[in-house]
Amino acid sequence: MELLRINNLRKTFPKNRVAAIDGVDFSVLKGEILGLVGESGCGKTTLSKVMLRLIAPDAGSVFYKDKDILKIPAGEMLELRKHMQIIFQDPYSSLDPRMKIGDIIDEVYSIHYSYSKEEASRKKIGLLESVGLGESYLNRLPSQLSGGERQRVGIARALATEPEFIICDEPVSSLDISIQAQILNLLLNLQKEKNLTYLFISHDLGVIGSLCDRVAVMKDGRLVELGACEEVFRDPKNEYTKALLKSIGGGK
Amino acid sequence: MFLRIKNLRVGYGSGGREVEVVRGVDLEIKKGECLGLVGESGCGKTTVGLSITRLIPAHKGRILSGEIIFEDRDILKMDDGALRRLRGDRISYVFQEPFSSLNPVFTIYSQIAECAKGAKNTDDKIAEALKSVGLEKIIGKKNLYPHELSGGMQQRAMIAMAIISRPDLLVLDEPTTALDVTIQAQILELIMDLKEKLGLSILFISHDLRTVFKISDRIAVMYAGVIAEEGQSRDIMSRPRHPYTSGLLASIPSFEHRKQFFNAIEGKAPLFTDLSPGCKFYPRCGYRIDACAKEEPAGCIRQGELKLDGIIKNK
Repeated sequence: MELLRINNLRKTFPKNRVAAIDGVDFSVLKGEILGLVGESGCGKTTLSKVMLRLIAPDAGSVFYKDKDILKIPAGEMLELRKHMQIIFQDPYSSLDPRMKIGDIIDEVYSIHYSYSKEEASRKKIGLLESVGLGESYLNRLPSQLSGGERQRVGIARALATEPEFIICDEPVSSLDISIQAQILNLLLNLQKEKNLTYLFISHDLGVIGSLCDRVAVMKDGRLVELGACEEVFRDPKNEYTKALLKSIGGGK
Repeated sequence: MFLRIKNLRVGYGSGGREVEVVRGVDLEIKKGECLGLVGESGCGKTTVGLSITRLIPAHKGRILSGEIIFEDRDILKMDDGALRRLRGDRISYVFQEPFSSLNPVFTIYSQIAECAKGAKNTDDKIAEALKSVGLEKIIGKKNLYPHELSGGMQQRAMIAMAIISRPDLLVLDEPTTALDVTIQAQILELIMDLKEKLGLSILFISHDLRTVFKISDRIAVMYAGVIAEEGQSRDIMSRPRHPYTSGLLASIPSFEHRKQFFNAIEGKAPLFTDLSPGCKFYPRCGYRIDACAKEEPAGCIRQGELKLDGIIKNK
């Protein structure tokens, strides 16, 4: 079943006349992990922002279930945001350094829910536990956490509204390899447990190949290949995909 | 022996709060060889690289003890003049982010020329260096600034600066980490090519085992300020002898091991301010026994007894 459908999306930023997104069509299926891979500047992050209506495109539509999220009124969009969340790349710049972890989660609750203090507190602890942290983290500041712990907070914040769909924008790129594996493990387990749908953005084909059901390859604002991970990795059709795969080839 | 580091100890901080972050490292690099030094952030690998020409800023830390023998002379005992002749001339560096290594207000040409100071035909030398790093396109263009080049080209310019004096040893600290994968592959190829052509010896520092494996003859794996294990690249990748190495290998995501990171190393690296006695990997190790907590071994005390997984199958 289609959860999201993107039609002929286009976006050109006024300053540089090159199209950041140049006519992109695809859909995200419910319960899948769709990988989006491409090199820096290819438009992956712009695409993810348009999909969450954080940037307005020049043309095209984004359907979440049967609603065109670019056309619905702001109030309705706010309601929908509960279902569509995002985890950012850099857990150092995506958490407010002056807010305690508990307050970071509270901010989400205050926007979307009207929980009583006790209720919020109970939910927060449950949430932190689900990402491998505990109650003791509520009163800490981001600066007191390691990169992996911060990213767990980023994941908890995305899960706070119990979304169906999460965009993971390079969530492990800035982490050490052992911590990266822990976070990927966590994301996989959460996906299975809560039947989540991910759009997983990465420039690392190793991460994409290990995690995703399908993969979309982006270059210069266009999708050059989209298919089941197994097919794309075993038998890439596009020249650019072939070059990407070749560049990660191990061995000597 | 070309370069030998013996029992190197480096401390950061001052007074009573000095913390040892390199805690007795032994390494050797042979002439014309590439040694990969791999480890996660904060393990001390960059500090080892900087120590080789005593580049650790005095206000941050100091070398506590050890020897760094470069062609029969101990660098740690050299006077300033001898050290200056070594730096850049015999041993040079390339760092991670080309954009922050290059000065944005000077032209590329003037920055490369600075490295060729004292040479006779500066222009010819620069042209030759640019050619050898694949930047023929910008030869003669004296008005180019760093921001006008792509990341890959900037890193090539950095490499040109590093090799222009024909050094014997090149220390590369995460030279490809900030670059896109296809550009990474090109830069690695360039480095391997230069190594052959110029007979360079290389210390290649990186957190990425895949990259290190591609380029290195031997690999040393570093954890919490010591070398956990060292060996021929292929042996490290196919038959690791330290549980940390094996865990690192299992943590590398790949298409061949889909949807499984079950062997990921748990927990996080210890703080240097709070090291327990015994093996520093003990708290995270899946193979630990009581004896591991008692004394700090060089390598793993269960070496040979354990059968650990690599990621490259033996043929």
